[in-house]
Amino acid sequence: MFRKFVSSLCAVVMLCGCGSQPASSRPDTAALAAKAVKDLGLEEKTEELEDRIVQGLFFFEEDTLESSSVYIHNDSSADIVAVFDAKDVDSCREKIDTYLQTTKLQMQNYYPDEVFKVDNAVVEDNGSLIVLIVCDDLQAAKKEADTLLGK
Amino acid sequence: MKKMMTILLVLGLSCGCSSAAETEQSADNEAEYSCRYIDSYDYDNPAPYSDPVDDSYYDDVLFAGDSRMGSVALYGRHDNAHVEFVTSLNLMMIDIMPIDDLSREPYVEGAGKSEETRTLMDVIYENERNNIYLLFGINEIRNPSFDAFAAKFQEILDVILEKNPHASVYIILAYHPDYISGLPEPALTIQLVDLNEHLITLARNNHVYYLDLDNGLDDEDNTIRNEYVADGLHFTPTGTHALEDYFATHVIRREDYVQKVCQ
Repeated sequence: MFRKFVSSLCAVVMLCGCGSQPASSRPDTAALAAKAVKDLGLEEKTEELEDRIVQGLFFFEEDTLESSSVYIHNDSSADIVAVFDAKDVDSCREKIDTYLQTTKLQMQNYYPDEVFKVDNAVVEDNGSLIVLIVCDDLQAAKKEADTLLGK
Repeated sequence: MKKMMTILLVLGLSCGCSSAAETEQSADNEAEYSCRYIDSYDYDNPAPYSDPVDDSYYDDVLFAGDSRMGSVALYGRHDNAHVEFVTSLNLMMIDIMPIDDLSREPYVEGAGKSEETRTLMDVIYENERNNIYLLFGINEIRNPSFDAFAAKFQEILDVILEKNPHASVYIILAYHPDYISGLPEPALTIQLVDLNEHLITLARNNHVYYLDLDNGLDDEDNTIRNEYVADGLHFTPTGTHALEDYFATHVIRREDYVQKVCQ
């Protein structure tokens, strides 16, 4: 009887364990980034990057990300909308900071009007999901990031 | 050691060539002659000095690059050359960022994609010219690694060489600017060496040529001559003309290096 009870208990615990972290519980970074791009009216100014290009721009360490989706300017601006589902939030944020510093230096040389936007980039996280937005409408960007992060 | 490597390379090449070599048979002779092309060019070294080409050479030239190539578009003396560049280009985005057009109107919100959003990759896909000069990398100079950059560059070379296997491609090494903001010496030199090593490897692996502008346009400080650059990096009209002279006198004439050998 006791053995049966323990087996049942184990099964329930295992099921609960699965229920708390099912595979589908990871955020859909592609959908979130696409939503932000649409909400901010950046569809024509940005294009989605392939993962290998994202890696070539941000230089994330291995095992930093679960997934990501990045839309980047297709003009001479610094606009970017990116959503990262991070395994290592600190490392990911560090790489984002480096990207922004480099972008700022580039913009100082070629497109100084963009520097203000880069300086005021929205970078927010909720402990695992990180949102990066550089665009003209800073207030809208902040609001969008909060929405994506469920704040 | 270097000599030995060169000999090995030539031997390797000749072996490689023989497998795909053009074979000619004489119907008249009983003996059969097997012919192959031997390329004695040393891809480990920069393009050497050559007799200058004349203006007609540029009928068949494409210059493509970042803002440094913009000087050629602005001040170049060869109107028949095709010059395209992208200011602030990161090579990872060569198929996203639109080419600069000195006569183009600024981006208009809501205008949509149009001819104005042609990229440098579009230009490379469409190119019909046989002498192609590529100048990339300065905007990536702060990268912690150039591996992704080199992989992307390889993709571009693949496109060029697949379309035209006989194209003469010149990879232009990053010349040493006076300074780059946010990258003081010695970090700048270290990064330039690393970047250029990747570029030389690309040239060697793809059997394309490379140009070492530092070996000709530098001053005693081993940086680009002050009178050649306006801001330490981008060429002035005088610098552009010196650059063009360098190009004109570092042209590889394949017939000087490739020989047909029949046995």
